[in-house]
Amino acid sequence: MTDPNAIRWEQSTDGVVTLTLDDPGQRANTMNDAFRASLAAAVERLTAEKDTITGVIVTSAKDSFLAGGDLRQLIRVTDSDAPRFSAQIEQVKGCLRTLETLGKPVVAALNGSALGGGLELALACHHRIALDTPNARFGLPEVTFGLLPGGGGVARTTRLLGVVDALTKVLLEGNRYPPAEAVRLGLVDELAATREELLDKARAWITAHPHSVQRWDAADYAIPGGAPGSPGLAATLPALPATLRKKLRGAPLPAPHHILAPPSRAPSWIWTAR
Amino acid sequence: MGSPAEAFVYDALRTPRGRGKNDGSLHTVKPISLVVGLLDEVGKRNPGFDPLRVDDVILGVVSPVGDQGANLARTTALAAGYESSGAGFQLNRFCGSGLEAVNIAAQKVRSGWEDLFLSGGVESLSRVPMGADGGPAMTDPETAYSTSFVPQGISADLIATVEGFSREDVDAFAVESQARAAKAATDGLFDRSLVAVRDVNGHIVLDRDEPVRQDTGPAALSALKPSFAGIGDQGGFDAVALQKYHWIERIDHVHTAGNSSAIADGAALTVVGSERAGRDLGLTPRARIVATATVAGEPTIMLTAPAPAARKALAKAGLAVGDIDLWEANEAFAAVVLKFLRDLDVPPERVNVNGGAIALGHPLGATGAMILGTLIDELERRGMRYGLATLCTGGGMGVATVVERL
Repeated sequence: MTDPNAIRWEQSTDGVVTLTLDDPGQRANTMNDAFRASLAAAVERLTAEKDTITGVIVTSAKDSFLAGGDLRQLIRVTDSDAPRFSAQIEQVKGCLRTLETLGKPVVAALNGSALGGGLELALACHHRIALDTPNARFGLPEVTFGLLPGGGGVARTTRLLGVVDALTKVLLEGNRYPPAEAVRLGLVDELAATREELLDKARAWITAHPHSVQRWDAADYAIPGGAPGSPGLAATLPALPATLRKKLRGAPLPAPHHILAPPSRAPSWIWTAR
Repeated sequence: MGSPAEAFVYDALRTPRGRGKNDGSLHTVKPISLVVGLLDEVGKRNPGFDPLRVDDVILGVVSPVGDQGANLARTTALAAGYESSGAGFQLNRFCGSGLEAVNIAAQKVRSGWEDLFLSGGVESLSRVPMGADGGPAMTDPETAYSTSFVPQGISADLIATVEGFSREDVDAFAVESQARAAKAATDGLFDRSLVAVRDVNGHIVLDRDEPVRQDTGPAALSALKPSFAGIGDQGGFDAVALQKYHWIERIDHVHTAGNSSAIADGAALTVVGSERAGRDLGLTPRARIVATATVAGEPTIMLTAPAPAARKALAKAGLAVGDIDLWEANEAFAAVVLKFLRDLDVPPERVNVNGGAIALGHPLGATGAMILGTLIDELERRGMRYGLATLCTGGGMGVATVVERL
């Protein structure tokens, strides 16, 4: 068994807790058993010590931020242990939602690529700052592996970018965006030139937003392009599956099909993060 | 002219009822998926069943908007893989919709013009809440003024006041409903009709009625506050009711969350067809639909039509109250069923023998088809012959169906 402590906890005198993803067993951080256990422990501690915390920075000690699902573990999932695997995902989603609703500003300091589960963790933060390096990529490439982003990526990108942009520019093709493009799209909020500036900017954002809440949890937040029930978007929605069918040419790919599920009219299913 | 074709119930299936709130187990399941699951199960349980023979899919949907909009019945048939069969339409007779769907199918079969139907209903109240479709009955003040509209809870309290049902009476009824439902669930009496709701991976989301509480005793119930006293007073509705029912002094608000039906999500489906359709497909008829009825009564007291609906159906069937072995009268509110028992003078131990909507939940459009399935299951289990299902509805209507077990 690997050392479960894949996330380091450091609290500075100003009360800001820095969570540093640093899996001792691997060259890059992945969402493996050790990571899940460490995330659960970190979130539990954040909750317990909330009164002494002024903000949270999530960053990584590796070259990349967090590579997402451990493909070696994922490929071993069979139908019979799918319920167990599903429960693991629910646990991660629960941790991310707790982090997101902690009541303190939570910033992702993305020192490198955040793909799949890595971006999902970043999306649960209130603000994303990325180190501007040529090799960094941001996106949800799950669909390119025949998967759908199961850690809140579908729910959060549709809220953040709007249903149409989230589906066509992130979810359905699994695009991997370099830092500047990720900022233009809205996946990342700002860039930093150095690691030092990255953490300085994260700290400055926390200082400037002491009462931050996740933007879609604010009562006056409007989804870009409208919620699925809004007339403008309702007119556009039918083109999404048609365009997907055109692109797939009838290939029987379940993942993109099921990624289309959330933009239904229901008020609470997609529009209340869970 | 020959005698009309008989209409038979070949199967009756339902989902469990989920708690109709955003923490309920079925909240994450789209209403269309609830019904598609039942359509799939009809094929699995009846090997000879052929979708190409289905003339129509009829679904009761009380709020056919949003997730339940745009003719959910045809869309469901398409989503289940039907293409050249399974036309579909939705109907709305408020809380009687699911039973109305069965009755319409039976009437079409008896007309001799069509042969096989999937009829039932669906409502996901956690996703499409009551009133989501608007409408002048409640939300056009000019109309609501002239029709003396009051919410159903006021009507239920009015029934209790006029009939003299006390808080203790309605609570005792609720305790008994809970006890019967809990025992029926424990004894597996719903198993024949119940179809577990599964996710896209085929894993179970819910396989039992969620609103069933095993520990709802009299003390817990009597502690609950009346649900409708506030709107009755501040909303002016008590005064509206008292202008019509001027011989009572005030409305006694006895109904609470504990003795009213529980908000729920769920779907139900029956296979209704002619003798020939069943023979061709190798289906065994479970019951014959003997008679159906619809009535309308005074809309302010609103919920007293089950007894007249039952009498009308019995008259059409040539049967007397004493001929009916088991009854299902939807537990919209405790006073509705207490009034029904008094009007028809039927023994309580023959009515809602496995509990009702107070304990199990009331997914509006689905409930009528659900209780008909429960009735047929129980007639079979007890080896009894005749059953009658009835529901009160908004606007003062009542729906009833008489079945004969085969």
